[in-house]
Amino acid sequence: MISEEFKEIFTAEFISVTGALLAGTLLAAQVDKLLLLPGLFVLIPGFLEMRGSVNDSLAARLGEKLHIGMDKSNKHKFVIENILAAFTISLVVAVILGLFAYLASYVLFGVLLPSLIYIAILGALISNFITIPLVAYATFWFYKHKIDPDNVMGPFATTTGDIIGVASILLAIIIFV
Amino acid sequence: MKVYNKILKESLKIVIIASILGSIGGIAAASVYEKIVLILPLLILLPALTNMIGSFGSIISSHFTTELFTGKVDENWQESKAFSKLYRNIAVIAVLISIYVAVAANIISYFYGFSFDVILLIKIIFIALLAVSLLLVLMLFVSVFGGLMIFKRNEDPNNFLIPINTALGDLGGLVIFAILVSILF
Repeated sequence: MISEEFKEIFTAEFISVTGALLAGTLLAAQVDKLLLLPGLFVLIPGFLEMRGSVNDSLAARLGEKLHIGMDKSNKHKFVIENILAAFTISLVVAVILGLFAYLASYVLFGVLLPSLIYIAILGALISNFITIPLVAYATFWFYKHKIDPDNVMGPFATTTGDIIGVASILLAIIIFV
Repeated sequence: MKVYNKILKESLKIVIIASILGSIGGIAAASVYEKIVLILPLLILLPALTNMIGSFGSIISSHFTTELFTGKVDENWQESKAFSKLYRNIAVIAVLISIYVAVAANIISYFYGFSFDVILLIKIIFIALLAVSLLLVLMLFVSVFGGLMIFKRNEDPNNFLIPINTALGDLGGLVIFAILVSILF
């Protein structure tokens, strides 16, 4: 007999990897750009890791506060400061990842591509404006509809981070390349 | 801005480390980028593979930590029925999901005009299964020994284990992926 635990983990994993497959499909659609900028192979895994970490932590912090009980007078301030912190962390890490990809691209392929830094920053900006408010809204929405955010926000935040993260990077490539 | 400063102080360093580890894994993928770009199912598989391994790492870490706090597991962790059952469940799910992502990557690339090849499909299933299996064993040991060590110091293992296991998933997954791609293709 299949246990509840098995069903929960399998369903969450299935949804999460399907989202990641969609991100892979977006990459496949722009395969010519990847050939032009091999440094993207260095940038993208770190960028998606950053997107997932920032989104997951934001959802976990908001979820934890909802479970403990939020003081109504501080609720607005708490959410805004959380959103601002997520924005700041993403941008700082994007600059570091852009520089890392730029240097790695020079060492590995002998090409200096400053566009990798711009792509990382613009990609982070675009994905921030979509995923951060979306994750914050979804956490409250699930809680309001009696669904425990701790059980669903992990796969939700990672999946939206993967899809929107890759789409934002590709959009930034179209603008800069 | 008390909350803002606290989040930045506690999170920034670990997000930078985890992201850089992901990008170091990306260097391994970049070393075989021509093969990945030419063999489309590999490109489609890549984000799903790292996503899957990272998620399993989070599940193992968070469950082990919860069991430590609730006293259901201790240094004789092999005797915990709940943890053994969880690990067995994850192993079965890992096999099923690995086959799913490998088959799906082949089907999607077929719609992009990439011809279907059974041998290629078997190789991609093998890559996904081997990468997941090796990293599940590694993550088990990191969670158990790292978790016990941090718990003994009266700290919360979650703060360390989840980022380290997701980063291990990215770095290890990409390195194993790159090695297998260079051997098999």
